[in-house]
This record gives sequence, structure tokens and C-alpha cells, in this order.
Amino acid sequence: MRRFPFLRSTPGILGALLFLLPAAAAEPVVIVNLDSRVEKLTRDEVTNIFMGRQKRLPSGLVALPVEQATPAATRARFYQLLVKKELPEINAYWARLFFSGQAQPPRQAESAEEVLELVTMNKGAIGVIDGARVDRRVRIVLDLGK
Amino acid sequence: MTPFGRTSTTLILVAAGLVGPVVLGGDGDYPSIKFSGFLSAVGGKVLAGTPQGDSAAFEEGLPLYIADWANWGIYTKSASLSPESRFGVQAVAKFTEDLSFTGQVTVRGTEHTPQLQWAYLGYKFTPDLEIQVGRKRIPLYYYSDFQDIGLAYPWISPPAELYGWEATNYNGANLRYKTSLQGIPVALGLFGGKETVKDDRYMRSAGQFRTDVSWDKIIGGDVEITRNWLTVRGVYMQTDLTFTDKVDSGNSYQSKMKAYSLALNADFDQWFVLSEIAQNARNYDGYYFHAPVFSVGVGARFGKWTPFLNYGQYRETCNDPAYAPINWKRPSLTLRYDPTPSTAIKLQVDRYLEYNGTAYTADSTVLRISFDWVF
Repeated sequence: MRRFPFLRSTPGILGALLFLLPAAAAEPVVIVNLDSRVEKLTRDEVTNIFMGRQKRLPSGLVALPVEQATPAATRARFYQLLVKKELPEINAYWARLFFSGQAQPPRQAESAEEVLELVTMNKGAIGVIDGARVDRRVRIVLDLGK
Repeated sequence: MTPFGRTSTTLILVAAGLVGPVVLGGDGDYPSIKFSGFLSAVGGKVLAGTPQGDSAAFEEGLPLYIADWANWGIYTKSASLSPESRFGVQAVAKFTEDLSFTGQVTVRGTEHTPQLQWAYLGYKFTPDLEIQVGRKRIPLYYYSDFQDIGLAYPWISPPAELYGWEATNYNGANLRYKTSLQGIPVALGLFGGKETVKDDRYMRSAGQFRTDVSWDKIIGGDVEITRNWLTVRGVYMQTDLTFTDKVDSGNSYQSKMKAYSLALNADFDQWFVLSEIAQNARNYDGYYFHAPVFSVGVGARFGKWTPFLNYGQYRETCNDPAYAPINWKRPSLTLRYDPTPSTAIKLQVDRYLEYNGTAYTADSTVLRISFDWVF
């Protein structure tokens, strides 16, 4: 049930019907490279990395945060679950750091597959994709749907 | 890549003929160059004012409202787009993973000639420690180094109580170090350098049109800590000031300045508080000048709408009998609307109120509307 948290409030037959829909609406999960020496991350650790406040993974590797830019709803859902912020707030936050030369925003990938490839290829990469798209090439370190 | 979109940037710059062939390197391919920028179109006018100010000092006529002291952006009873509108383009060239060059050119409604705001080389000794050498914004108070980026804050402009200075940029170097103490992110900065502003527009506030201002031996440091809903930033800076009036040398003098501030920002998801308290202390010819200032505001987010209520206070004390201190209070109300994640429309009303016997510009009520865009 964990990938369908919205069902908890959807009773009876409607809930049963929704359960039969394709698994397209899973919540985002945070993934890392299998050789990153990172098993789990807390919400605070992920927040600090994606908000440009922390440059390294707990294992000491330089972090390369990757977010899925399209569709925008995927990115919006991630930040809503991670820091309860809408995209305009996230962009306003980054406008400060970027235009004062303090930090670079996360690298943006165009698809879940591109995130998976980048995380597979880079030891320090940390990405976010829809939970339903995760495969064996990467490790889940935080499930934001939980 | 910025989160503000890439294709549009390239197209707009090429269409505007601002840049030649644009090379957009992919991440990991060096050298690469990337363009981004910002626009703020701001219009406003003084709705009402009282005429008790020092009318002889202002060619613009009273009542007026000084929105941008550094660039002498002034609103009068006639609606105008000039005082605060600006457009900037920023290029970041990366030569290697660790070495980059950043340049930024800005055009203002008050200064039509494009100004080189930034031109600096950045080098990362480690991923946590970067040095930047060249021309940059002075990272004085919380909003100083991004005060042109309207999208980044809830007001139409950062509080004038804290953000009116003779100099906003400098030539020099800064070091930035990011670390964490028991899981709490800490950013430390050190900066030093100098700046000379020819015919400083700020000095028009003293009725001087041909005064050069130098800030020499600028030395400063800041620390910023973020934990959950709280962000705290403290900064200290000192510099040697030289004012050279090329018309009346009697107005020329030297001064030492110390400035420090503490910013406390609290974010409770829907509700948020932005506050900053600062002191600007100067000494010259045996006299002292102190300007303790603060700004505090509270906002709430309702989807795309963000109303923000602010109160700012500027106070001066000075034991020089020739100087008439200026004191004002300024409540303001802003309504921000975000049509897209990269644009904002704001409407703001300011009540500028002088007190303690100040008769400088006169009290005024100002209405402004702005469109901010970052690309």
C-alpha cells in the first residue's frame, strides 16, 4: 500500500478501482549509486544536499544532486514532500544562491531514465525519480512517500 | 544549468542580438558557457505627501520617495518606470570542474549605459572551499549581493533602511567555505578589497553631484547557519572612506566605517518571518555618526499569492552640529503573485514617515507595481 498513500482516505469500491490503475502515480524516492557507500539518508541530509547547503554525501564523496525537470509536476511533488515548498519558492531560493555566486542548483535531467543513467555513472550522484521507475542499477536511500 | 530554463535564454539572447554564437556545453564538457539573467520592470508614483521637507535640496521637487539610494532611484508625483527597473545578463564560463569565470552586465532605468557588475574568476580548492577574485557585489547585508534579483524576495525592493549605500560592488577577493557542525550546515565567508565610485549618485542625497567616494581596505566576514525552519546570518565589515567633492573641497573628508548586521529568517511553511537588524558606525574629524536600523516583516503563502507586511526603521545619531540627522519609519504592504515559477508580479504600498524633527524629503505614500523574471 505504501505507493498509494492517497488510497488511505479513499474508501470502498472507489479505492478498489483506483488500485487497478497502472502504477504511474508512485511517490518520489531518493536514489544513489551502488558504490556510494551510502545506505540510508535522512530527510535533513537530502534537504541540505538539494538546497545547496551541503556539498558531500555522508560517506565523504562529493555529491552530484540530479533532479528530474520534466514533467514539472514530478519536480514539484519532490519539493512539496521534501520541504513543503512550491516551485516558485524553490526558484526564488535558488535565484539568491545562483545570482550571488554561492552555489549551483542541482543538475536537471529530462527524464527518469536520464536520472538513472547519471546516478549509475557517477559514484557521488544522488537523484530523485518516481518510485515505480527504480531498478537494480541504483539504491533507494529515502522514500518520500513514507 | 539553472532551474530557470535554458532554451528560452539562448533564443532571447540571440534574438536580442546581445550575444554572438552561443555555445551551450553539456555538464561535464569543458570549456562551456551558459547564460542566464534577470529582469525587473518596476513602475510607481508618490500618491500623497506632505511638503515640509528641505525642498531646496531636491531638483526633483517634493514630495518624493527615495526607493534606491545607491542608484538614486526616486519616485515623484509623476508615474515613472525609471527609478528601479533593471535588466541583467550573466554568463558563467567553466574551463574545468574547478575553474570558472562569471560576468554580469546590468542596464538600469537610472543608468542607461550597461554597467559591468561582476567579472570574477572562481577556483575551488576543494568542493567545500572556493576563492573568487575580481569584481563582485559586496556581500554586506543579507540581500546585498542579490538585491537586483526581484524574484528572490517578497518585497519590490529590499528594505531601504538597510540597503542604501555609496558603494555596492568592489574589486577584490572572497573565500567561501561550507561545512557542517553536527549535521547543521554552516557557511563561512571572508572578503576584502576596494571600490571607487566616480560622481557617486548616492551623494545626491547630500546635494552633491560631483563627489567621488572611495571605500578602501574593505575587510569583512560573514557566517550563515541554517537549521530546519531557521536561517541566521551575521556579518561584519570595516572600510576607510574618502569623499572627494570636485566642486566644493570643503565637502571632502575621510572617515572610518564599521557595519554589522544580524539577519533572522524563520520559515513555518505557510507563514514566514524575515528580519534584519544592523548598525553603521562612522568616525570622522573627531565626530561620530551611528545609524542603527532594522526591518521586520511577516508573510503568508496562499498558493500563488504571498501577502507580506513589513516595518522598517532608520535612525541616525551624530554629534557633529553641522549635520542634521535623518530619521524615518516605513510600514509597507506587498502582495506578490507568481504566474509561473520564474516570474512574479508585485504590488506594494509604502508609508514613509519622518520623525524626531526630521525634515528631509517629507512624508509620502508610494504605490509601486513590478514584474520580475529570472531566466
